[in-house]
Amino acid sequence: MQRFILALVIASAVMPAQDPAAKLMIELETALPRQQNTQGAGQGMPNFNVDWDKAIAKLGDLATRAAGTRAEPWALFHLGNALYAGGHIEEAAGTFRDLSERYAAHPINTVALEKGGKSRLARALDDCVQELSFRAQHKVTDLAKADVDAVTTATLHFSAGDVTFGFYKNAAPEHVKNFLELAKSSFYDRTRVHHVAPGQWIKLGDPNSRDKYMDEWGKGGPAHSLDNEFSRATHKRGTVSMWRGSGRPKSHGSQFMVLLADQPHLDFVQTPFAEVIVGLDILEQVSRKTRNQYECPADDVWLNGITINVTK
Amino acid sequence: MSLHTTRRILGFLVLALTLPLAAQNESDSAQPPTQPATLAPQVPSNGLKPIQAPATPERVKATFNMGGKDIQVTEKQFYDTYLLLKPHEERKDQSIQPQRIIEQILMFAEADALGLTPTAEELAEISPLRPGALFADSMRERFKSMGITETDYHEYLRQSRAIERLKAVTTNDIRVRSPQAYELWKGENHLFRISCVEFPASAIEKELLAKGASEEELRKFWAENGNTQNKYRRPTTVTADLLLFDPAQLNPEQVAALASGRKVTREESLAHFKKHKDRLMQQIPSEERPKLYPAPGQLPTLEKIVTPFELLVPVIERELILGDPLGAAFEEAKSAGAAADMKTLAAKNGLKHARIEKADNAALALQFPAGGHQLFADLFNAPPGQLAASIAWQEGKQYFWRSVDRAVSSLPSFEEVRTELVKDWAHETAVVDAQKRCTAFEEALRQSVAAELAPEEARLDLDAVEAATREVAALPPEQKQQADMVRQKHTIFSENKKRSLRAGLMARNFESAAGKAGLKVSEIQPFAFEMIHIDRSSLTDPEELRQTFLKSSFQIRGMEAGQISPILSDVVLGSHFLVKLIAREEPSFESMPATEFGQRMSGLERQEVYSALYRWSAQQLMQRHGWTEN
Repeated sequence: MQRFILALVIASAVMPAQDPAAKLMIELETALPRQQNTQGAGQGMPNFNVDWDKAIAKLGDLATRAAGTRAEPWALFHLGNALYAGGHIEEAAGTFRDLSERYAAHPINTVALEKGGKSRLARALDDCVQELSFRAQHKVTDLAKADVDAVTTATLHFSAGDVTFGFYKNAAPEHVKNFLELAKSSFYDRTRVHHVAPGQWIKLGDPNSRDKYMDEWGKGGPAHSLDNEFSRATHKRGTVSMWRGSGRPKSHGSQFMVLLADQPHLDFVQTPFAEVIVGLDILEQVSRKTRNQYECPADDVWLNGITINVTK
Repeated sequence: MSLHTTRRILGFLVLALTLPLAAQNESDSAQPPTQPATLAPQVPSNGLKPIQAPATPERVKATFNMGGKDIQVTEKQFYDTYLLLKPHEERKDQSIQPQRIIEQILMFAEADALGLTPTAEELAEISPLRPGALFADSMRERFKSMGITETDYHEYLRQSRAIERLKAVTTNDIRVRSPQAYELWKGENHLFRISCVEFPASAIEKELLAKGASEEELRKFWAENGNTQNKYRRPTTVTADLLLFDPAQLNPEQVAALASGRKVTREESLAHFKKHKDRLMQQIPSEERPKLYPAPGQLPTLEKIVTPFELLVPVIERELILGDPLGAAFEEAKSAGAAADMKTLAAKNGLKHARIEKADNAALALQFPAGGHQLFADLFNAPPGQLAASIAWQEGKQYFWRSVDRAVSSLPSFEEVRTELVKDWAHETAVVDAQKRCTAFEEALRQSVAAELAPEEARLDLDAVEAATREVAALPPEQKQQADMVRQKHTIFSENKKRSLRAGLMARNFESAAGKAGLKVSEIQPFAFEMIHIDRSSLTDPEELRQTFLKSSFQIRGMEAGQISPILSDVVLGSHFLVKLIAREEPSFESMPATEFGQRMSGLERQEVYSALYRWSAQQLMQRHGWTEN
C-alpha cells in the first residue's frame, strides 16, 4: 500500500496537471469554423463552406462548458461572430454586449492593436449596430439555404460502381426537375464521364459521349438551357453543379460536374443542385485514372443508367 | 483509435522527423552534435550573410507601436529571436532573413497583447515532450544532440502556438455588413435618365416611296448592293416523294394483324441487329441496362449472362414485323424504277405519302425534322428519278424517298425583283439620309457652341501663353531646356478646360438647338443598364426596339451626367440618336435582387478572409505597427 501511495505521488509529480481550462482553450482552436486545410479546401486555404448552424451549436456548447475559465471570453467572441455570419445579428449583438460587460478588462475589449484603432470587441459591436440600423431601414432578404431533399434520391449506375445523389429541391427546383426528367427519359444512359481533373472534379451528362468521336464530347446536350438558381449552397466537395459554359448566361441543359474538392470560385457562377450522399470515393478514383489527350479517362467510365428512388 | 488520437500521433511523427532533420543539416556539416549551435560567419548559397551576434547587445535596434504603446527592441532581443528560430527554420543553404525575425517579433507581440499566449498548463497539454507522449524520449534525445534545450523548445512552441491562434482568430473575426454589399452593387447599377433626339429613317422612307425611284437609281442600287442581292438570291431546292411509316401510329389490332402468321427467325433478328446496331443500342430500356454491367463481386453465372442483343430481341422483332409493309413498297418501287407511282404504292400498302415541293435546306428541315440536313444533301446529290439506296430509320419512323427534281442557287434578274426592290432602295437610302441629317445637327450644335465660346477660348489660350512665359522665365538657367515641356503643359491645361466648357455648353444648348431645328426631344424615364444581350430580332414594336437599344448602349453607360453622346446608330430600327445624359441616379436597396445581394455578401466575405490571410507579411506588419530601425 505504501509503495502504491509512493507511486501515485511520483506519478502526480511527473504527469502534467489536468487543467480543464487549458483543455478548453485547445478545444476552442479546433472549433473555429473557418479552419484551414479542412477536407476539400485548398492547401493553406480556409474553409468557406461553413454550416453556420452547426458552428453556432458547437461554439455555444463550448462557451457553456467554458463558463468562468480563461476560454470563455474567446468562446463567446467566436460564438458572436458565428451568430453574425449565420444572420442572427440581434443575438450576435447580445453576445458581444454580454462579453463586453462581463469581461470589461479583457484584452479583447481593451486592446486596440493599431494606433488609433478599436478593440476587436468594439469593432464587432460597431458592425452589429450598423447592420441592425441598416436592417431597421431596409428589408434584407437572404438567399435560401440548400437542404437535401429527404424524399427523392437518384442512384447512378457507373461502370465503376453505384453513386447516390441527394437533391437541393428547395434551392434549385428547376434544375432538380430537369435532371430527374432527363434521367427518367434515359437521356443519360450509356454516356461517358467525358472530362476529369484529378482530385478536383469530373464532368458528364453529354449525349455526344455516347457514340460520337471524342473531340465532340462536351459539346452536346438537349435543346434547352436553364435559368441559374443561385442559393446559399456553396461548391464544396461532393457538390453536383450544373455546368455553365464560359460566357454563357444560363446553365447547360444536361452536363454537370461532381466536385471532388472545394471550388469556391464557382459560387454564383454555376448552380449547385445536388450532392453526393453515397459513393464519392468511387468518383474520386475515376478522376485519378489515366487520362487521354482529351482529359477524359483513357479507359471509358460509363454511366449505364440512373434509378430514381422515392421514399414514401 | 479515435481520429483525434491518430492525428496527434501523425503530428508527433512529422515533428519527430522534420524538426530535428532541419537542424541536423547544420550539425552534420558545421557543428559537433553535442555542442550548442554557433554562428559561423559563412555566406550561404542564398547570398545573405548569417545574422551575427551583436557587439552592443543593449543598443536599441528598432521601435514599434503596439496598442498605443511604443516598444523598443534591443539588439539582444532581436538576436535571441533569431537563435530561437534558427534550429527550426534555418537551412544549410538558406539563412533566416531579418524580415522573418521582424515577423516573429511583431506577430508574437500582437498575439501576446490579445492574451493568446498559451499558459504553462496549456503548453503542458500540447508539448510533444510531455511525460507519456509518444516519441517524447526520442525527440528529447534529438533536441539534445542538436543543442536545443527543453526551455528553448518550449519557448519556440509557446510563441508559435500564440501566432497560430492569432491568425485563426483573425480569419474568424470577419463580419460583412449589408451596406457594403449595397455600396458595391449600386455602383454597377446606376439608373440613367436621358433625353434624346431621334433621326428615324422611317419618315424619310415614306417620302422616298411617295416620290419613287428612277430606273437608273434602281439599277445602280441593284448592281452595287450585295446585301440586297443576297436577300433575293434563290436558294438551292429539291423536290421529292417520300413514303413514310410510323409504327407508333398503329393500334393493337393492326399490330396483331401484321404479326399473325409471321415468324421472325433468330438469324433474321441478328442480321437486323448488326445492320442497325448503333441505333438499337440506344433503345435498351433504362432499367435493363445495369444487367449488362454487373458490379464487381456480383458477377452472374455463365448461363445468366445477358447480351445487348438478347435484351433487344422484342424490339427487333417488333421492328421487323411492323417494317414489312414499307419493305414491300420499297421492293415494288425498286422494280418499277422511274415509272413507279409513289402515291398508289402508298395507298396499296397502307403507308403515308408526302411530296416535298421545291424545298430548300431550312424548309426541308422544318417540314421533315426526322430527315434533317442529311436528307437534303442526299436528295440534292441524287439525279431526278433516283430511289433511295435503302429504307431509313429516324426517331422511330421509317421512310424512303425518290428524287423528282433539284435546282441550284441563282440570282434573279433585275426585272424580276424590280417591284420589290423599290422598298429596299427607299429603306437603305433613308437610313443613310437620316445619318446625314443627324451629323448635320450635331455639327451645327458644335459650331454654335464654338462661336459662343470663341472669346472665352481665346482668353484661355492667352492665359496659357502668359502662364507658360512666366514659368519659363522663372526657370533657372540649367533647366532652360525644359521650356518646351512647360509650354506644352499649359497648352494641355488650356485644351482640357476648353473641352470641358464645350461639352457643358453643348449639353445646356441641346434642347434649344433641337427646338430651333424643329426636332422633338424625348425623355426616357430612369432605367438600369441592360447588361445581358437582348435578342431584338423578335421585337416588332418600334418603341420597345428604341428602349432596348438605348438601355443596352455601352456608350450611354460610360457617359457622365451633362454629356452629349456621339451619334448612336441602330441598324434594326434604322434610326440615329444623339443622347444627353441628364442624371445618373443610385438605385434603392429594395430594388437589389436577392441573388445579387447574396453574391456580393459572399464575395466580400471571401475578400476579407483572403485579406486576413495576407496581413502577416513583414511589410504589412511593419507598416501596421510603425516599425522603425534606429
